[in-house]
Amino acid sequence: MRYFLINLMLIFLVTSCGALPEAKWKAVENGKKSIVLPYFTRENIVYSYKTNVAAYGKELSGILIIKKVGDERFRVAMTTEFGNTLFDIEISPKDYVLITAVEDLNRKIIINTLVSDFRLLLKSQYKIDATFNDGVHLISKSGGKDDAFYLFQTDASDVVFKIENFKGDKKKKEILYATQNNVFARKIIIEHFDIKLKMTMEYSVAD
Amino acid sequence: MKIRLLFLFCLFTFPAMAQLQPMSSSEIATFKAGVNFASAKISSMSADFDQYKHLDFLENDIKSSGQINFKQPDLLAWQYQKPYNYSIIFKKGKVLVNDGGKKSSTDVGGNKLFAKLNTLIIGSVRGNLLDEKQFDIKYQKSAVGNFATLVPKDSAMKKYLKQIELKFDKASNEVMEVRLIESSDDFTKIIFKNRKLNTQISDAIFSN
Repeated sequence: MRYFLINLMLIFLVTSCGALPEAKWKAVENGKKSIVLPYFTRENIVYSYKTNVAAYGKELSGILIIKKVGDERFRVAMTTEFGNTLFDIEISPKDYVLITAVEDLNRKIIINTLVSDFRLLLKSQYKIDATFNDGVHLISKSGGKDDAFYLFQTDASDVVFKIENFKGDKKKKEILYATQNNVFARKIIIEHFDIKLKMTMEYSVAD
Repeated sequence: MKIRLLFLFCLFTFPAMAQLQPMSSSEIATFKAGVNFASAKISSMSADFDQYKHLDFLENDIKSSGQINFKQPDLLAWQYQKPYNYSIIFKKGKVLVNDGGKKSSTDVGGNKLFAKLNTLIIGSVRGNLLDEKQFDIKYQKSAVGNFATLVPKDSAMKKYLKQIELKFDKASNEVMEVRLIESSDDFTKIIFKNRKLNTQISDAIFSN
């Protein structure tokens, strides 16, 4: 009986401790010390994206409007196509101010999730702690085991086309970028893997 | 110096003050009769529109544009063509959406607010929104048009809309401009252009 319990514990430990993603990759010496994402760094520019949010079988569509209003401070607002504002939040790395939100969205869990996603979307400076190569991509790791960000670049260019966020060995979310001129994201997808939430943003240009 | 300041004050304030003046009760009665008469004549309407979304942190409003079609009694299609393709059709108690090829349908009946929004949009297009049971209404006039400012009485509607402003053409009494003001004071302004009344509109326009 004692051996049975020990075996059971071992099975539990082996199955619950997954490997970190870099276990499959080759370490690269002398990688970059930092990476700057250019997608939302410019002030005096209004970034306007036609956006669809799919969560637990429900969908919400509208226009996401982003403007940098100060050093690491952004206003992020979403309106329906008809024009009514769904939410308007001022976000900085440490805090946020909820300017307005419609009743259906004005819940702590929803606002916190939005703020967390937008912080990740708008973060431009990454301090790099390690660099890897998976045979196709150069992957730069920022942060420790508890909250790690893996920035994917093709070997040929400096463009970051994907960021994966891991907590331990669990992939929590990722951002995919389709870029133009390497400084501008024309399409962005933010997808969660622990909850059913996916945000698809496509740049829209008014005349 | 004081006279110069007074002159400057008058220069800047008088045009604004002269712009809008309240209507007298007889002018209100004439205006409402004119609007109802113009509205009753509409069996169909098509127009181009420019929509401007104003947010307090933006220097320039976000512009979109498209076409609107209305057919008696309650068929309404908004088709955004720039900067994206998006259409929303109110038809027989349903809301049909085509979001760049992605189609969906919602029952208006299950959502009282949506039903009110539907009535409000059709009313603002036709001009027959001057319902004092639903709104506190202020009537004003200027050299270029007549204006009605509507404040919703319904508390659910108030959460979404603080005020609706309608601008009517002085001669035809048709709605030329709608401004929907939210509780945050952000607003959406819609300007109608190239209005065509009572022309043949294909039913295909109101299909998703």
